[in-house]
Amino acid sequence: MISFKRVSKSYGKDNKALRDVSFEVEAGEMLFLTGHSGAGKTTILRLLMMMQPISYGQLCVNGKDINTIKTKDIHKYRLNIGMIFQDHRLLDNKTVLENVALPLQIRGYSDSYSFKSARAALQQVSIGEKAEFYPQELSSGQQQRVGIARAFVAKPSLILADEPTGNLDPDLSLELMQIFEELNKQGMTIIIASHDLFLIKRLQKRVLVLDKGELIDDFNPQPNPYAP
Amino acid sequence: MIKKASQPNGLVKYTRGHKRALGEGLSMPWKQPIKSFMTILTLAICFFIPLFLWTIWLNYDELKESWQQQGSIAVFLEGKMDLKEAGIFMQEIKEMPLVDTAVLTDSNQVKKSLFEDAQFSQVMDLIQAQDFPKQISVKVKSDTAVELVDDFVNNLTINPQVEYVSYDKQWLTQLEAITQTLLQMARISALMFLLIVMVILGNTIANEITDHKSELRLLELIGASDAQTRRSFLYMGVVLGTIAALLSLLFLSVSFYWLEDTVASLVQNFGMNITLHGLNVAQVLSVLIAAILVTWIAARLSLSSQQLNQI
Repeated sequence: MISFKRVSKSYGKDNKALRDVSFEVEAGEMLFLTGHSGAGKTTILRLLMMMQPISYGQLCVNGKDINTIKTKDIHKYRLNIGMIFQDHRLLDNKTVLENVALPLQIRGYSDSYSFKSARAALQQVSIGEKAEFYPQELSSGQQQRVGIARAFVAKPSLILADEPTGNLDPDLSLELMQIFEELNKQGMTIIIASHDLFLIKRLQKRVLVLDKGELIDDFNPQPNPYAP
Repeated sequence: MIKKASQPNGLVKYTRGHKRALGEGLSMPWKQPIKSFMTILTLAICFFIPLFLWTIWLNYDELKESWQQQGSIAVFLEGKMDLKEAGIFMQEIKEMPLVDTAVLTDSNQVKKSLFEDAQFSQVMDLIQAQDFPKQISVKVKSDTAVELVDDFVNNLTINPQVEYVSYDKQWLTQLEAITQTLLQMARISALMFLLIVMVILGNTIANEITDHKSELRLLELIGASDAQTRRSFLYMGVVLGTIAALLSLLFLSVSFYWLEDTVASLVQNFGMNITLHGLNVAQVLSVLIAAILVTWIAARLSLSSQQLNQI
């Protein structure tokens, strides 16, 4: 589904955010991108979202080189992706329900279908009772659930999450990860950028380790036979 | 679990998108009512000035016709010509393309009108023994160039059926010069104020975009096209423009109400009977349509300069 072939990304002359990164992601896979701050996790997500152009190499999604997508068609490409941000990026002037319904409204669905689906998505992330609240009335964890609901409500094939548990306590983080696992079981490909090694270890999914823009490891953690 | 609805077709998506954008465009100005009111007021003043000049221009057309009567051409016919021949000749003149009206007056009527004139009646006793010629009063169409009128008068002068042609060329030249000056003034001011409308609206929309930058960025990231992110701002511009146009029409009514008495006494001093007219329904609708078009173009231009949905 996703193929990075010797992808590099530079900001200016000397600032290389990604160096010669190559990896592939199969459809329906769930994986983590990890590494220290500035390792290049977010850059990979930004390149996948076409928020920035790649400097060198080739990045293909569903067999299509995204460098060949014209600027006017970027929005069509993005309709296949659900993005989750560390800072949630919810619209303060809209209710939780309206925020979650946005991706469906953009796709041209009726308000009734959009709101019905948004309610179902909110139920799925266990926050259905907050539908009529405004984002600023929710806790950070609740806001992140809303962000997750908004990302999957339109059932995209790919979900990208940038440090989704960054500001949350471990229990809440684990709950959110269980939501991601559930979405993955529904067939969505999920890429999560996180530096929370404890969480990554618990989920036992494929891990790509980045350091200073280079991919230094790509592995599947083995279950610990002594784990309780 | 909700069953996934089928993807809406292009037309449905387009219609729903516009409906939502209209709602947002209508609600945007009310979020900052004082700022919006100031923008509307400034736009209304910008619309009002060319509108006022245009309405004055429409009134001036009537005034010009009245003034043109004074510059009409008097064609005095040969004395031997009988009334039937004069009628045929008048008909020939009337059918000429630049002629608006031609009226035949026989010698008795000419004499009578001179007797009735306050200044001429005093000298009429001295010249009443004289035979008066028949006269055709010709009025040319109001948009005829002075050169063409000149040619027309020259042709009449050399016509054997005509004894003398009286025509005040200077008056027509002056009238045309005044008309052209007023028209140019109206055009230039309209252009300047429309330019100001574009700048003000452009600035307002740019400010709105800055205020909504993060919202727009989010919409882009969840798949909204340029057109989808622009729509609500376009509608907001049109809403502001339409309200401003309505306000400028109100300003026009008020200013005409204030001017009515002054203008009436002015034209009476010039011996004319002209009243100041406002705009009719068709003209009001034209103003509104023009305002909507201008504001839509201004909003569109402003949004084009904003780099939305770019990498």
